[in-house]
Amino acid sequence: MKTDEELVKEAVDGNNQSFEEIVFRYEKLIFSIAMRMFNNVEDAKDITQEVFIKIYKNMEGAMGRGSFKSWICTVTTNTSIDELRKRKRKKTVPMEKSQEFVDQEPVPLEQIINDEKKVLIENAIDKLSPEEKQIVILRDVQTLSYDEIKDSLNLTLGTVKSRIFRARKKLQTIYTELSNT
Amino acid sequence: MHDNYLEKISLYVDHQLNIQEEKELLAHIDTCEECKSYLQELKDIVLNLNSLEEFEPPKELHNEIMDKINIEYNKKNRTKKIINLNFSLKNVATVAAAYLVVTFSISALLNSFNGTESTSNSEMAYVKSYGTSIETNTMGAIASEAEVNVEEDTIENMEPRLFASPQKSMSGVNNTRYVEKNTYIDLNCENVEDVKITLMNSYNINNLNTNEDLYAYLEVEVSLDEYDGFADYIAGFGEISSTNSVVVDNTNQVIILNNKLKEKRLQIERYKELMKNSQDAGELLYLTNSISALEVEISQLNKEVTQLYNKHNNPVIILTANKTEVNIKTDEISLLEKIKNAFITSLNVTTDFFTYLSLIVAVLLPYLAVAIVIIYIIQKQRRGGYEK
Repeated sequence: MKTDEELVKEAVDGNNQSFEEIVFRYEKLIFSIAMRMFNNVEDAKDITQEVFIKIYKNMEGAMGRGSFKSWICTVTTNTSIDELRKRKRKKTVPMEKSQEFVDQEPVPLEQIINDEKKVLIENAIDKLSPEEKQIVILRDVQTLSYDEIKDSLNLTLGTVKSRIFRARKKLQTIYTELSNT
Repeated sequence: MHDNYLEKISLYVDHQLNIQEEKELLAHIDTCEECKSYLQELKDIVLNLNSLEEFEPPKELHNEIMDKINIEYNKKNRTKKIINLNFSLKNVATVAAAYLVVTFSISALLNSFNGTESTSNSEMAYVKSYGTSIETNTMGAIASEAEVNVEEDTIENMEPRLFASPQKSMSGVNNTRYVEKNTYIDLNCENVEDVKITLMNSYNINNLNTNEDLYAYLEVEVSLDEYDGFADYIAGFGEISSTNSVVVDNTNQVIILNNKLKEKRLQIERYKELMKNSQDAGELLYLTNSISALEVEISQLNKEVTQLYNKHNNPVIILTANKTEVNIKTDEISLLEKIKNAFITSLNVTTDFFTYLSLIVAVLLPYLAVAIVIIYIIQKQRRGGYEK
């Protein structure tokens, strides 16, 4: 299997099949990040398309930049934040995951609790500000390192540490509130 | 104060504390229920965040993305093509404009010195070389001279009119004739092998046939410049017994080849025009391949034309070296004279061809330059806003 760097190089040279391979690899990731940023399928679709066009136009800039995945994650969260700033946030619809969970077959109690926790977490993420969502998604969902976040967002290490702390603290507060209701 | 510990707990979860900081934090947590509880909750949340699943994108999303990418791809390629065109046209137009300025400046300067009417340098040279002896034929591309049975001609009775100077017909078609001339010379000599070996070491022999030691046919191609020298050279091997000359008129062949070349170049232009408007990758590939194939054919045709020109410029002497004793007429004119007579007309044709070519270039080039500048200006006006 070709590495991301090889595919990017081929795509830069004009090979559209290589770019399609990149789309296959990352459409789920980008769509998921966009879903967490917007909690809305249509918006997530629009953002995913916009992000891929940005990637296509700026692939040369992605070469030699370090982790391609961390670059994609950052482009996605930044694009989402820009979009959220531009317009009023649309009214959220219940996430598909919540619906799926209701329709599923009975499962062991422990797993139900786990899944319930995840639904609560998703809902808690949704209540964060766009910037807080960004940092939580990059660090705790996509598990980017502190250095990767620092480089991607062009921040100092101290700022990254304090932003992660504040976002987590707020998420924890919201999560506790949601758990008690 | 407590927030300070909470931030350290966040760093501790991510293994961002050094050993000393970690020890201090753990010592505090042992004594602080609030921090202990916060650590446990944070670990739990981070664990859940880490294991969140990705959302499955809608099935149609992939195709929608690729549709947009293909639009971008076409846009990118079209823009690149137009920019390339403008760049190259700009450069050509700049050169053309510079050429015009220089040409007209020099022309004005020369006219001011000579006080003559405006005549291009090449045209003057043409008149100077041929004076009033230029024959005219205004009936079309193929002159009536082609009907002359050249095979019956010998060196002695060949006339310059057979190889007419380039003419310009009323329709403007160049009437240059392309004549290939072969001279056969029979040479009686003591040793055929010596002649053969000596010639092989000195001249490029195209064909060589031998029949033991009785005779040898040697086809030697020499340039007009070295022709006199060659005549002297072979005279040293023995006695000339007879000479003959055959003239082959290749004009039609040259015209046919040039028409084919023109047709293929036009075809390339048509394909290039189609490429500008095409957005289909398959079609573009087909057009690119077709252009490449045509370029190969053009290269081959050019080679054939060059070969004909070479034959036209460099006479072929087919020398038959004989061991057989024959009576040689001593009153014949010298070989050197015969050769001079035979090739003088070829010399005219050759010189005419290049003179006329330079005349055409000199006359047409300014018009071409003006046309390029005008095309560039039109292109720029038409696409002015595009590159921005």
